[in-house]
Amino acid sequence: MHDHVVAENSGGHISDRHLADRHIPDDYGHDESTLERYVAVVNDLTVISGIARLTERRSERGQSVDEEQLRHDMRSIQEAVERIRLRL
Amino acid sequence: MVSVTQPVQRKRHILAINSSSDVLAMISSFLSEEGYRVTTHLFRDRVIPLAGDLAPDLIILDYQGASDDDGWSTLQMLRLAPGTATIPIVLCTGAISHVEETRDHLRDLGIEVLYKPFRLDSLLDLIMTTLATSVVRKSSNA
Repeated sequence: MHDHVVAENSGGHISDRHLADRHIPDDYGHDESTLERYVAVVNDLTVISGIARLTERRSERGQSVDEEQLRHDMRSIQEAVERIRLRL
Repeated sequence: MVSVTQPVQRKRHILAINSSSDVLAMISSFLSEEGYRVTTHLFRDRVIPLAGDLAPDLIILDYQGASDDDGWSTLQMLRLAPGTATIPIVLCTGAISHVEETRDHLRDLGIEVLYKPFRLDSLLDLIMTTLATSVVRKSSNA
């Protein structure tokens, strides 16, 4: 049976089936794929700024530089930047 | 000569729940270096009994937005389960419009909101404030 769309906007829609189930989709009004991309990018931005702040904080405390830790952090930042680049 | 022994302060225990291992690793490193005991949990599965058993002082929970039914259910379950009902929660989310509508209600339930992307200092400030408020609440309820 064809599921008839009764309302839609830029991101989502409400169909006959939704009405029969009395369920309006949570993503109505949002473009889900854009939303998912946004969430992922925001997560990666949090990781990048967090690693930077963590490094700064260690420096403020006078901790000596741990080369292995620094390499690991740089790799994590590079990976996060690459994930953002792929999503934009 | 009188020797004064400072009471040994128990490390406050934070449980961080997130779907990103990178975010968890970062939060864990930062808070551990700030003097907290941190437990991380990658998925939300089985988090209710885990949180109840661990009895952390505070939970940091990731919530991805209106389409994240699991996140919202987990939040509600954490509030309903007797073992976790009074543990303060910091909800990290990028779903600003969705959460803003319910922010006052969330605060009444002991849930503070931190919008992503956030600075680690903001997370630390919010944890400290929330824990301090929680102590005051417990004292006034005692």
